[in-house]
Amino acid sequence: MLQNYLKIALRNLLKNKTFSFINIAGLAVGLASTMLLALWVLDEYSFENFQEKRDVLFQGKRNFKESETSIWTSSSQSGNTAEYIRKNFPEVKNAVLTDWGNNVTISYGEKSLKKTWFSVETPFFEMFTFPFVQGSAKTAFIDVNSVVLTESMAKSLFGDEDPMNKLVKINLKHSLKVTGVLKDLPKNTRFNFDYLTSIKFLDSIGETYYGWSANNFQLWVELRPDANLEAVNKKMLKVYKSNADGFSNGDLFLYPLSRLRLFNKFNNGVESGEGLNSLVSLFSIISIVILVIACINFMNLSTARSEKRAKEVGVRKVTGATRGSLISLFLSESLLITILAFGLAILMVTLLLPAFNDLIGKQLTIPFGNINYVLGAIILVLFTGFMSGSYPAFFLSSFKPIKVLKGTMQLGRGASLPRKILVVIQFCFSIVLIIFTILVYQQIRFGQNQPLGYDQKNLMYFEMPGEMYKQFTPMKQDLLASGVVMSAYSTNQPMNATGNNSWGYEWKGQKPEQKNQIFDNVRVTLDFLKTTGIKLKEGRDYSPQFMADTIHSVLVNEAAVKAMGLKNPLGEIIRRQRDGNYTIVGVLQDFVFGNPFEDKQPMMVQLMPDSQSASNVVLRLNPQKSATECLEKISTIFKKYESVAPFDYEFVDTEFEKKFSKETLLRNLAYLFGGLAIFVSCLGLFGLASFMAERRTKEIGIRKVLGASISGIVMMLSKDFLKLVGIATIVSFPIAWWLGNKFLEYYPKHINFAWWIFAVSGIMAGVIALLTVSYQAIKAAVANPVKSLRTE
Amino acid sequence: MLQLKNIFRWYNSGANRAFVLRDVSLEIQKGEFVSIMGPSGSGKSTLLHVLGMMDEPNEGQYLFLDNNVLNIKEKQRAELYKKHIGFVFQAYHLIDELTVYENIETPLLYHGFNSSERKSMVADVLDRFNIVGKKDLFPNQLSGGQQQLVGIARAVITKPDLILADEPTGNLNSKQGEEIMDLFKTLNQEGVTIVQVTHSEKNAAVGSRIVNLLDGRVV
Repeated sequence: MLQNYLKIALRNLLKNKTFSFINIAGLAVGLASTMLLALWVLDEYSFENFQEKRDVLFQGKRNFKESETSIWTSSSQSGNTAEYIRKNFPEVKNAVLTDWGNNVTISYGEKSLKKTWFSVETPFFEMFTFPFVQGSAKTAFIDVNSVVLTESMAKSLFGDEDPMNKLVKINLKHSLKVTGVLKDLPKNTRFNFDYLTSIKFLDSIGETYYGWSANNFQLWVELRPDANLEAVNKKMLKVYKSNADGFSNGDLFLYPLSRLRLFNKFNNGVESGEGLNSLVSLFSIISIVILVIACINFMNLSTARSEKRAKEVGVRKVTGATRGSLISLFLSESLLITILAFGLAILMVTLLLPAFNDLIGKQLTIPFGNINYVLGAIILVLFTGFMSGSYPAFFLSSFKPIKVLKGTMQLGRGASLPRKILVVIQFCFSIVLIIFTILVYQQIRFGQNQPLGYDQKNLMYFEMPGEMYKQFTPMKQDLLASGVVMSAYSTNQPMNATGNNSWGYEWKGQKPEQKNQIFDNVRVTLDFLKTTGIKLKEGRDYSPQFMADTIHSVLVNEAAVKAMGLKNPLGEIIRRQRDGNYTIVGVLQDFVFGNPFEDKQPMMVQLMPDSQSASNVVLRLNPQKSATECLEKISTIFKKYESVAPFDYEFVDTEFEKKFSKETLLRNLAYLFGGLAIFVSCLGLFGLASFMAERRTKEIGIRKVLGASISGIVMMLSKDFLKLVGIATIVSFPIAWWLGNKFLEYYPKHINFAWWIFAVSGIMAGVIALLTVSYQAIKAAVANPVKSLRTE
Repeated sequence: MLQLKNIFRWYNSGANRAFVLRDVSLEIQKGEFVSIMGPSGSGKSTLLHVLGMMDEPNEGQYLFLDNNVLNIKEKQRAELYKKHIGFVFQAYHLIDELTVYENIETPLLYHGFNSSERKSMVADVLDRFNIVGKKDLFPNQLSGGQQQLVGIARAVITKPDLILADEPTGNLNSKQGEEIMDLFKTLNQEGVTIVQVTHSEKNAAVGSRIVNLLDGRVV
């Protein structure tokens, strides 16, 4: 029986090559897009799944009340929390601090590499599943001056040598003994360190500070299996309050490790649902939509061709076929087509995966060997085959044999209505995607074209490894003398890099709730304004004339003046318990420092002496000189002061571009899948148009004999389809409006929905549809009527 | 074998009823060869479809081998039809995508014969109808007479007791027509009951009885 079905299906496929191509190609594109997205989505959901204790691991978060209306959620904690929690929380099995990780030079002999350095407390290895290949968790950090490497780190530093007990240098100054090698980290973890040291080591070199008002550590907690998170979190709220040292330091709470990847976005202290998961679910929906569009094509073309199949249905019924057996006949046909399409889709995915990986910045592979994926693929094929075949199967099998066999069957207007509705739905999807794509593109452009408030071009920075900062003054002189550098300063934070902030300041006229006002802190040496091109709004820049600037002066930005509510900011004093008093000597015009889509944050810029430890040098390059020449000369000067560490530099404008990575990803995916959706819809439209033209051959012949012009006939044939696209356009507008605004709300600073976006997308859809349909329409219109009438 | 009692069949067109069959009563014995004649629109085909259980009358009674056809369940009716009736069409109605062999095999699939049974049954019929050489051809490669031969072969392969033929020679030239009628005659002599609709007096004469229809009535 099945063999007979498949035979018929194959012969039908070969007989109607256009329809077969449209169906198979369309379904293949739909399946391929679903598979690509599925690979991505499953990868996102697999984050931290390998952690054996994933269900009991939590990150410490804290909610910080900035003002009456805004709560800021942070992951940084005071270093005292871990010890306190270990002592006072019986529900907690383990609690450890880690730092935030830095790219720091690690060297062995001649070899020097810049890799990610991360510091942890020993129980870290009990909590997280990062197994040792050499050495053990117990012994790794007995000696403070120890370092644990990942396997590939060890390999690139030591080659085939045994790394154990060898001495390496971190940041060119700290000698540490290798006491362990970890298996390389899986890709689907948030941790990305290359080597680990103990927090105790950081203590020993004086790079830690423990105070209840500090916020410089990450906190990781393992609860006992029987602990109740809600109850624990209720107690956690009091951790900072019961250790207040005059500041209000926020409310600690635990957040599941398993949610960090996808849901880690907070709005006023609660998970906002706007994390990566929103992107993931958006594109999951879109990929399913594309598959549905392809299935709709199949349904449309099958039912459109139903008159041709009707006779077969009649004959089969007369020879004893039941409706059930006919339904299985048609379903096995659609299943066969789906299987062929699936084969093609696998091929497409294999070919497209490298490009797709580039697009989303991952290294996904097709897991052919994974039984779960194979099962998933089988379910996908069955589902698609059934979905695309069900309507035609039930529709076709319902024909009454005497009607179809006597040739009196007229499907008439009623029968084509579902088809029209399906076309409208398809184009609705496509138009919504067009609008969405335009919006994303506009929003990114908006972010990129914002007035920055400083001059990004020819601005670069490099890192000063080790103790290079001690020689900053002579190096600066060398740089300026080289002719390629116009101006330079050193800083703890180059442009674009936020992350250092503090609170607890007081000023005149401060409201009580403003004690928690958070300020971004940037520390710079002289020539900050000259180098960056940031403008002064009032007051003066730092200057060597004023000796006290390094201790008693501060520059603030406009946002800070606004936040503090100062009328005449110049000369006002900002006080902080531990640090002392600062006089505002100048106000900077607002400039983009962090996220370009967020409102400008209040900021303080403080002057530090050249000799103070700073991590980076920011340079304004001479625009007259080529970039290669500049880099060459700067690199030579760098080498003069530091012969071992690599010269590691960034251009501010390329770094700025990286802030749009999520938006760029969104845009690229929207382009790709929007394009695919439109392509598949057009395939379907093309098929329908060719069917219509075929069906109306006789009518067209008669009209031509009666004197209709070719253009008139093309118009007549295209009009029907354009009407459908028109309806789709109107239906899609409110949907796109709602979706688009939801997307824009995500950005504090965003473009407005412009009416022309609707106009453009409507016209685009119309033109695409017209181009698709007109080929068939013209072909039908120019055909010789004598021929078409004779064939009747 | 079967008995129609006071059969009415009508269509509603607007407020009027258009009668196709009016008060038709008819009894057909096993082994008969009945020809139904009448002008176009007299209800011949409808009568044949009612006999073949493909159309339901609006009124009346239909007994087929002691089964009250109009009162039994759809499924039982389908079984009854499948077991006892074969249909032959004026336009042959072969499935274009299937070869001669496969067309003849199709009913066997729905009757649940297994593969080897099907093979021998189809081989028998091909042999008997002298179309062994044509078995791998597709319908559009055959002449009209050959196609109708295949159509009849398909109808008889399940060994029905009753063959209903709707103008079986209507699309054929006279020589082909004669051959088909000869075939029906042979089948009838083997015990198969045959009911044919025809316009041709000559073909009607082949049968054992003629039923004349005019405006939906037996005359």
